Amino acid sequence: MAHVADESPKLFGIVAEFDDPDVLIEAATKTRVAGYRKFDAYSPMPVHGLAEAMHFEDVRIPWFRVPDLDCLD
Amino acid sequence: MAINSIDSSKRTRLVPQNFIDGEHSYTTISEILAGVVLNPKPPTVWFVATGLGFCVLNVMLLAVTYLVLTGTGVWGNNQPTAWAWDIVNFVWWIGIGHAGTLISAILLLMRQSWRNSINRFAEAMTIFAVMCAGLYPLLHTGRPWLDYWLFPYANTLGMWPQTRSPLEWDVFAVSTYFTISLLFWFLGLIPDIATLRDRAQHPLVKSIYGLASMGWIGSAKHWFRYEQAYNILAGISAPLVLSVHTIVSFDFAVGIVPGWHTTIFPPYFVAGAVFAGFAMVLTFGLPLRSVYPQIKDFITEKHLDWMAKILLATGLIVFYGYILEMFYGWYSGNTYELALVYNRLFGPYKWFYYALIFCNGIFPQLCWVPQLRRNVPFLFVLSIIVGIGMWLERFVIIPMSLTRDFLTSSWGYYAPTEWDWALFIGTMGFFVFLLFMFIKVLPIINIFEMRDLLMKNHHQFGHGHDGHENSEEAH
Repeated sequence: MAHVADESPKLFGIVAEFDDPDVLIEAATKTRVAGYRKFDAYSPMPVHGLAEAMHFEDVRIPWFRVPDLDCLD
Repeated sequence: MAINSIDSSKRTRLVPQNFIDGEHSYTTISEILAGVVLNPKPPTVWFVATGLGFCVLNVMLLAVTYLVLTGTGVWGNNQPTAWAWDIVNFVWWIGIGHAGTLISAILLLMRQSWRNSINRFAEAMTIFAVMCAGLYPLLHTGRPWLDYWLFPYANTLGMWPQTRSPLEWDVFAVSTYFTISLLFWFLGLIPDIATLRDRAQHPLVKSIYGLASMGWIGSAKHWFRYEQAYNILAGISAPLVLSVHTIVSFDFAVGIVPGWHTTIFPPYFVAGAVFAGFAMVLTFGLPLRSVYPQIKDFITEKHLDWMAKILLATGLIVFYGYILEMFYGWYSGNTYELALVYNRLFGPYKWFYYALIFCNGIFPQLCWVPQLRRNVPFLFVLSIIVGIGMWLERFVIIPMSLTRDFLTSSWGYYAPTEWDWALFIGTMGFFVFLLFMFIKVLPIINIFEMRDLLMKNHHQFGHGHDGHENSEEAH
């Protein structure tokens, strides 16, 4: 983030809003293909294919786990 | 590809239907359904119903207190009728719960999207009905403070439950059923509780819903886990729809009392349970639609029509059971079974039997008329009549057989006491009170599943149209 001037706030993340679930899936796929890993997608109802588009496919739930702070990144 | 296309052309296709009337967006759905809960001024009817339920609930508490202090002798049960209203009411309440499980689990696995607007309150009814049901056998033990003896725990008494008794199977069937139903209900509520959390104004209300929503933020990962868990629980619940009432019917079918010892009991009890359950969904859902007219877009006339069809179908199975009971009595050639058939038709309780045939066998046949299936007053009357009929069925099975068993010298006549009445009416108050408290605290219709349905409607019928008209064309 060298190009960001010192006086402006540090870039924390980018949020985008989509009207349609299909567009959201497409955006999630493109984000993943572009190489991003620390991102999440939110929806008010289950959108089938969204978790797969984000490559969230591990079905195992671990026995021990520290609280997931990924969403805060 | 060729094989696939042949297969798909042969397969029966579900005609896509729209189950949401009127024009709605994701926002209006959330506003209407969360509004029922978060509205600070519930309709007057709500206060009346909750107050009435609370008063009658106190009758139950009185009846239970007197019973526990005095003993089960306060009931009308006595030899030869050792089982009477307590078991009649137990089976009746358990049966009422079954529609909730059928709607939530089996219809989910069959991808019946019309279930989405009725499953929440049907599941709530399941839980409350099982609570009412469980009370009876627990009190009937006579010493309810020792009821933990029903569970096989390691103890120094050297005493174990009798695992050959169907009553012991009931303990496991009903407690499993209650646990799974409660888990299933709560799991389905989590995303909606999060909606309430986001919309609540009062900080205390916000934090209570916040705790109950278990950190739900609607992430794709959450939905993924959620759907895994929900489908697994649906898979566990689906057999319970059949097993619980089957085991309840074993309480009778395993015995040798005339009128009980028949193989038809398990399927006929299960059908009767679904029949009674759907009737209760209507008994409760129809007034709900008039108290909260804004939900009529979600519980549409199509829903009423389909529920009436299920009532008709399960009613026919039950009616078939009544006919077969008569046939078995005759075909067995057994003196006692024949005497029972005679006793049902001409004995001291004959009017109960005729009323039963009218309520469950004859009156529901009016559902063949399509106009009546969408007629709200008719459906309400029907649901009450079916509820009474299903209660009569259990009465006909239990005291009628017990008062006329093998030895003429032990014949008797059963009549309930005022404490039987007090407990029965009291449990109804308990049920009504819990249901109305539930309406005020949690969303009666699944909010996120309505959004999901709207999304699917948009895909199927396109944006910006009145989906209802389109769906009529799609028939």
